[in-house]
Amino acid sequence: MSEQPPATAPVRKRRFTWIRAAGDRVPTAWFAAIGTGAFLIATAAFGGLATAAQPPLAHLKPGTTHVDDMRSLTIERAVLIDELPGSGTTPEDGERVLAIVVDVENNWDQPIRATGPGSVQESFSVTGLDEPSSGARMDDATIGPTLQPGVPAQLVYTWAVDADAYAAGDTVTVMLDDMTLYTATFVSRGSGWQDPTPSATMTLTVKDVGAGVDQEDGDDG
Amino acid sequence: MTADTQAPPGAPAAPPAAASVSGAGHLPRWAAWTIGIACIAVAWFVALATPGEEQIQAPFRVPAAIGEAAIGRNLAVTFTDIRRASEVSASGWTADGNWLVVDLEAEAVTTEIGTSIQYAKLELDGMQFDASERPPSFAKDGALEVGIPREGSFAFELPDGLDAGDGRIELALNNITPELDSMIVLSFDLGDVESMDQTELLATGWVGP
Amino acid sequence: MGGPVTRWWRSNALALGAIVVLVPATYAAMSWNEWSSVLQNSASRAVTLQPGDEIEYAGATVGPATAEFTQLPDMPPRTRVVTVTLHIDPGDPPITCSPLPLREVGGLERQWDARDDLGREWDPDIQTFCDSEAEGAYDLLLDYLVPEDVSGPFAVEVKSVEGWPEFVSAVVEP
Repeated sequence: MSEQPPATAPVRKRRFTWIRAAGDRVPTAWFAAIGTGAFLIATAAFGGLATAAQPPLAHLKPGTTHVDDMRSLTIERAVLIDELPGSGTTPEDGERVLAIVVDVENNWDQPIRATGPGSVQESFSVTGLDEPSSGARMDDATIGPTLQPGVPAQLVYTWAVDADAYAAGDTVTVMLDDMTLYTATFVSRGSGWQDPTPSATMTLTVKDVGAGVDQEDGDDG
Repeated sequence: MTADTQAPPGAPAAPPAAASVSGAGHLPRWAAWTIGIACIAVAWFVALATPGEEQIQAPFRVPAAIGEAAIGRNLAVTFTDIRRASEVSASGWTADGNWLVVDLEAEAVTTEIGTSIQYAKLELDGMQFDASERPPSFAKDGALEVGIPREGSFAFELPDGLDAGDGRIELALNNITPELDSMIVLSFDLGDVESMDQTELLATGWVGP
Repeated sequence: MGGPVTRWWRSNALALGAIVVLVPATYAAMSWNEWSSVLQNSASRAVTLQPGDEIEYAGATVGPATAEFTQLPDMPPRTRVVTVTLHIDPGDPPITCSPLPLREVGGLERQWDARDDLGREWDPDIQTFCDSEAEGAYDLLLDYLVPEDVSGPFAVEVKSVEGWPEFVSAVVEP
């Protein structure tokens, strides 16, 4: 210190000594509280710490297409039927099949599966029901089909439900989700769609076709 | 260099010029810096030339042409035909669309245990298509045998309106990990492929007499 | 220039010697450590069985093995069928083995799987796998479909978990 030019020493003393003096006077335990208070005051500048309210979900009319980067999905109809051979779902005694017919087109540049992880099935859900027990093509009854990029297809997703759980005229609410594309970089490879985030809802009226005039055509599915 | 200047006066001191050339145990400063910078430059070029992750794990691509056998490590394929159709049928199944069908004969080379063509993809126009699992075809029943060729077809369903572009059909044994194994690649121009109204897929089976 | 250089070598001789010995030794030790458990727990060591001989393996007597070229109704053109008969006298507990491949001796060392879709008349007494409940000796009858330009000799590989790391490579000349 003795070798430094004398001009800087007094300046330093004048600028910062008072901080040290003031800091010495505040009890150490108070620093935590003062810091927390300062942080909370700062967060008020951008809305506070409470979770932001979700934007309201769009409500779509049946037959409207829900488009996102992964697929364009149009829910056509919901049908209650005694059994639907070829769909992959076999109801037991006391059960019937709830079928939802959808038109899908793959908007991505790689094939997407209709059922399974990262599939079209994960991009929508029916309130009150788990994952569909099966998904199949309407035209040739291929179970668990793969959707090629840009090629539209009509699929039917089916659940086995208790016979008295649904009746004609009941409504089902379908939640339509946006999915995000993730590309694996470190341990695994490839890309896939994950993270369904609800972005729209649709209410369908269930039609009861009894024993089923509305059957799938196609060979021994 | 400091050692030279501090050497005891009585010791045989090499002339400074000779010291800088022959080294005398110490590298002159300019030489050390030059060698160091040269090493960094060479390392930079080596890093540029080192294959990336993708190339290190890339499959070994074997180019194929219609009518010629393409032989990989455990997969040998001879493509016999490629065509497009707006309606395809196979053993009672039929479908409309923009279909690309390729006929081939395939056999295993060294071992047939658990060997089948599980990876069958078409790269076209920046998009990737899987061989369709809808019809009975090699995609569903592709078990191969050593030395005994089996014939069949793959069908690819393309979007309407896709009529041109450079495409590659890629076949490999393993779907989960096709890297570091052979992959048979057939390159073609979609615009040159003959197109017809209706076509049949080859029934999967042994090559006839 | 000679002086300081040889001085460096001499003063570091012990360390350099240690490197020359320890680096290969470390590599060898690590290799052996990793590979020994893999090789020990798989069929990695072949015990060759000549035609007509028999051998003790996994508590059973394996052999003799014979083979011949046959014709079966459902075989495709330009192929041959190699039918292998392998006699097994099971020990206690009876030997079990994984499916027996047929391997070409020499050449490309190709290997084929046994098949049962060639139209052989069904016979309940034909065994195609090691019977874990066998009471006495039995014969395995295995059909392999090979291209017609293949002539042998072949080796039928008998691999049993109890016999690891050894397996029997029974040579046959149809």
